[in-house]
Amino acid sequence: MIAYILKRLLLFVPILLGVATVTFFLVYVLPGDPVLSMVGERYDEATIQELRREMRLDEPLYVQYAHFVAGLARLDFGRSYVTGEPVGPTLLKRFPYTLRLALFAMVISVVVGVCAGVLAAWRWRTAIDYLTMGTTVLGISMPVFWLGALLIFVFSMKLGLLPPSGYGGGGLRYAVLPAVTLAQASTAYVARMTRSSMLDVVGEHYIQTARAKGVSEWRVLFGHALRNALLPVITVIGADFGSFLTGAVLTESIFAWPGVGRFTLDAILKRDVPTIQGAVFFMAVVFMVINLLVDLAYAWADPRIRLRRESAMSGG
Amino acid sequence: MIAKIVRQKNGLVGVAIAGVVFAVAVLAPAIAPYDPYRIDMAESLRPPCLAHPFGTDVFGRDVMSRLMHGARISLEVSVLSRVISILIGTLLGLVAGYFGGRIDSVIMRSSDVTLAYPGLLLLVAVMAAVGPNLASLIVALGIVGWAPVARIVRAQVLSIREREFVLAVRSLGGGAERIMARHILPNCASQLVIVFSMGLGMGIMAESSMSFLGLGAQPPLPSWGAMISSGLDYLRVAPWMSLAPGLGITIAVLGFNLLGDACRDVLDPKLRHLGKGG
Repeated sequence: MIAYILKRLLLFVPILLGVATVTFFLVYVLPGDPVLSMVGERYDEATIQELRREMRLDEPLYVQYAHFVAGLARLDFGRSYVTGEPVGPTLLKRFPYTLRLALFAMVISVVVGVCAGVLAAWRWRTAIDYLTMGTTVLGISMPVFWLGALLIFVFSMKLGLLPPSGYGGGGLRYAVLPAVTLAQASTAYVARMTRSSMLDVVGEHYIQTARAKGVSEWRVLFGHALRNALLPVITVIGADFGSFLTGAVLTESIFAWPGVGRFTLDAILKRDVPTIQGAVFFMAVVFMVINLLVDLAYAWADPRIRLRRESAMSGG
Repeated sequence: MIAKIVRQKNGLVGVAIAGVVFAVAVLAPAIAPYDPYRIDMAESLRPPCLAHPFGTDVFGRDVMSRLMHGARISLEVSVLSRVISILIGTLLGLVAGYFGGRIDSVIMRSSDVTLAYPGLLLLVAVMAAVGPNLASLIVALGIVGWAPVARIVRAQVLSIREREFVLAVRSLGGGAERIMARHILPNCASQLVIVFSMGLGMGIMAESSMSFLGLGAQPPLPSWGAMISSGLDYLRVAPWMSLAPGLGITIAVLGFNLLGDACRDVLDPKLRHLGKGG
């Protein structure tokens, strides 16, 4: 197991370097002069030269690149062109908002998704099953930003039950609509995965044995079947958590949620190069770490995967 | 193959929806009741009625006509970007799988880097860099999507490379290009059809998401995502402006997803896990 972890961590280094390189050059080709957009209309040549030097824009590309990578190694993402604040601490300040939303959405998608999946599997090939699966297909096909608009329209504008947007100083009411929106697609996937995994399991002998010895249906489903059906579901949940923590750009911008996703989008729209570089790199790292943790948890739970991956890796 | 797809209930629904969306996209200029760009302030914000089944927007443009023309944009972006992804992915996957060794490692590590970016993030960054317009979106979406295709093709090549018929051609002196093009590629065909059809729904979703964020089609183009985003400001007074295009996206994506799943089930039932949960 330790060898496996080490191998995966070693593989991390070139990927990180690749991500850093792609991020740097992508943002470097952004059109527009950041210095001119910073100082605005009233400027004199001396100030511009001064700023250029300060931002290292007068140096050759490879020096800037080396400086960028060296900065990343020290976890220093530079300063925002717009606010002048250091990017790293600002990101860390925004991250808890995203984390809060992600955790809330995760709870919804696990609870609702698993229950719906178990229900559909239990009443397999009945109206309940078809209805649940139909809903999940719809959930997967519906764009997040549209569901968000729909929820705002119904629950804030028509019914006046919940606030349409904002963080509201941390009130739970403010988190409900964004969390439901974010959880939508994941809930649908979890429900489908739970259902198919449960259907694989219910044919097994130990389920028949449990039924035969008179265990209640409830315990058969949740105690015996679900426990064994959950492993593939955990992979889906883990992968989705990674994208919740990073890919909430759409949800956060509809609901004006002050998380990392909206922060990144704002930076992109304002062409704030250091912030974009820092945020994109940060999110890619978070995403990779979560995926790694999921893989490790999975390998720990199921040794067959560990062995297969190891042989696959040495083979190519 | 089409007969088999239609025999599945979901496949039939998928073919029907995809067919309608496709027909609307192709015929939009002929069947749309109004010019999607004609501004008529006297007709501004009309609720749905007989003359305008989905109402009109702020500029008095007919929402239904715009929806029909929007289908063209969605399909164009989705199909073309998918073609680009498949071309790049197939080429790199073939090379990686066939030659192995160093070149394989480089290609696979590059795919790791591409996949290390979560969701839309890489696409958002690329679009910000090259400037938002439809042509860039098609190319960007195409390039960003190469990695999963390359992995699937590579896996397929690895399983075919050592089969007898390939060894036979090689022992007869067949060159690498010939073997790849004539003997290995045809054996990847069904996988490629699956990847293509399953990606169409995702492509439509990606196009509308990017246009929603203002990083895809620009006004006055009637992209579904852009229509929803401009409708959000009028959600209280004119909900149809954003609700109608959202319905369009949902139905189109639903149709293409069902079609993709059906293609996969018919061509290669072993791949069921690709659709996450099937």
